[in-house]
Amino acid sequence: MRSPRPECRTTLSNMTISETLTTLSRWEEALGGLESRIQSTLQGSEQEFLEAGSRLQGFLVKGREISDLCSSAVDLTGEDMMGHIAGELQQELDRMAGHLASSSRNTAGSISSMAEMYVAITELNETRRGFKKVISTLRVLAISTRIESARLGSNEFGFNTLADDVEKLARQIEAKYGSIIAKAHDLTGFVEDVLAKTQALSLLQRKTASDVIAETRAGISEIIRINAKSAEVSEEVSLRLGQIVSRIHEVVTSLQFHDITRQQLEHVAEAFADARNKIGEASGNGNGDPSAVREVSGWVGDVSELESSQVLNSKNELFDAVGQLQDNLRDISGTVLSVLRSIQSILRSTDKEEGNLLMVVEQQIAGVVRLLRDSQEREKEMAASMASVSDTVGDMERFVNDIEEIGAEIELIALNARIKAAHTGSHGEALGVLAEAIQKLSGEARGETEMVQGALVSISDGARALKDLSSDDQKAQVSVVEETAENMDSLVRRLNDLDREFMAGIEQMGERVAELEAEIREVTEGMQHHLVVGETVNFIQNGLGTIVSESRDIVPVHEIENREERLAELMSRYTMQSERNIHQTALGEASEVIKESDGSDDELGSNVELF
Amino acid sequence: MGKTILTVDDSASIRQMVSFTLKEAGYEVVEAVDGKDGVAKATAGKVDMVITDLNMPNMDGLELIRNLRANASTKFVPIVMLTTESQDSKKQEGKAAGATGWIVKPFKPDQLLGVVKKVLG
Repeated sequence: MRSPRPECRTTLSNMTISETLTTLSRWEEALGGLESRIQSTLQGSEQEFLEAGSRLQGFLVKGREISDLCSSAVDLTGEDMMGHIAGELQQELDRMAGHLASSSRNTAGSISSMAEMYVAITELNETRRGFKKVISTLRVLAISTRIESARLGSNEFGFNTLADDVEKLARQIEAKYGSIIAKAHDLTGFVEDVLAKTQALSLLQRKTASDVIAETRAGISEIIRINAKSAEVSEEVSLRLGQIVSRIHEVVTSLQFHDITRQQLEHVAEAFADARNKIGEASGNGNGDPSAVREVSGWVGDVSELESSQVLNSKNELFDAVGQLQDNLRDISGTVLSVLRSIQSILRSTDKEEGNLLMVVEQQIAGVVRLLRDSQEREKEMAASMASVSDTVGDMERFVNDIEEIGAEIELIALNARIKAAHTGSHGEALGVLAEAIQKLSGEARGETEMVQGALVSISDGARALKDLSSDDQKAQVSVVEETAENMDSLVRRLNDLDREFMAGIEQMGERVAELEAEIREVTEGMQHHLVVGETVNFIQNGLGTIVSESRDIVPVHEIENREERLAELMSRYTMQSERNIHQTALGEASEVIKESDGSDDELGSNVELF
Repeated sequence: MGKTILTVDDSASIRQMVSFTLKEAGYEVVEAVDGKDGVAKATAGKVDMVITDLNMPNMDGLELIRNLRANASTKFVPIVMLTTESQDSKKQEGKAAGATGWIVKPFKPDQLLGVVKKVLG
């Protein structure tokens, strides 16, 4: 039976060897507990990182899908699509404005021609007095001739016949002129009616030209502006989606920290296992050599102090990595939300403005086209009406010709009267005076007739000018207007189709973005492993703190034997530079931190070296 | 068809990140859980490049390199170490065994792709 070991208070501080062995046994158990805690912390912990990693692929796929939708939207609103069509629409509107201006000029020309016709008709009415005078004079002359004939008695030489002829001519002129005046009256009413309608049309044309065309032009410009704005926002969205890809790359870096932390904690667990082995060896089943017990007591203190720093570093690195990961994911989420807001702004603005604008532009264009069609219809109607004016003028000209012939007859009658008066001798002198008066009257009648003819020529010219509105050129213009109208209708339809396609793409983009944001939030909020590691590290540090404190009580640091060799051996087990740095820092050797080799590839980074 | 790269690591999350990065760039990726699995997969089919961890159960990265260099079909396949190990002595061991390059974890996707492009040309 082995005799009990002597107490050795001098070498083991204030503790007896048995007390120290009891403490070592407690440490061994405590380190075993800490080792188990590490194992259980690591158990299954990778799943959370794998889950996050597998979601990254989905994020990228969705990000790219959104990016593609965005590119399509940008293409739709770009110069080649909506912008181009809006530009074409602007050009067609310019052409339409040209047609409208031309139509306005025609209408103004019509009004001017009609005004001239109106003046000519008025002038025609002014010949009424002259003709009345001619007619009444003829009648007076007929009566005078009859009186003179009666005075001459049986030597009248057929003066009664002369009086009858003069009377007859008066009646004929009255009848013909009456017809002309009646026609002129009808013409006045007709021209007044057409003039009023044309002036109303002219007013509408001017208003359309000044207001509607300007509004339509402004509407199209606004559509172009909204499209440009939408394209701008879509390009921004595209840019931000590019940033998402870059953030996802940073997440890839963060997600590797599970492996790094795992290895660090495994190294700590290995150190604990090693320390437990060494405690076991030194304890020698309760019969350990005091110097070995002293050495291992000091050594376990060193290991505990160093590993406490190592686990703290692991925790910090993991927290940093998860923090960065969450920051990056939140940043992606924030970017995605801003993308969503941008998309919603496009939807709001385009929905409220562009949809309405397109409708308004469509209505305005339809209004302009309708007006042009009405104008041309009006011009055609007017031209047709002018044909009847021409017919009327033709009738009037025939009456004028009749009056001219009557004038010629008056001339003949006057000549005949003079001859008869000459035959009558001194008795017929009075009759000669009458004959002279009749002849003079024929001159006046000719003058009045010429005035009527002049007025009729003006009316006829006006009617011809108005009739020319339906000339071949005008017909050609009608087809050009129709073509422009069809082009504009087609462009507006295309713009509407593209707008619908754009809106559908934007809505789809909004849905994808909302889904992506929800998925990212789920992953971000699901990261819990680092918190478990944090608790484990706190637990380990508490346990190690007690061991370190007790160890330093048993053996002060400066009295630990073989310390340098053991620390060097411990350091050689580390695989990571960060572990070596922590080791040296914990021992107050920060200035001697080992520098990494500088064979790195500068282009690829300090952690990369190609041989 | 893209080139095939074998990633060997006992950490599923590292294999996942390597695979994610390479597949995104258009490469075909084969995964192996340790050196032994890596040797089997590298010799079973055509592999254009190997990216391997150093410390793994069953067979470590250095042993994997030696095995592949000894095999006629994989003798000239580029092998890049991807490990937390950064000691020069280990790098020299890797180089002596036939490693083409060394990347210390964690890697950035652009770095990994830069190495792959340089190595595969």
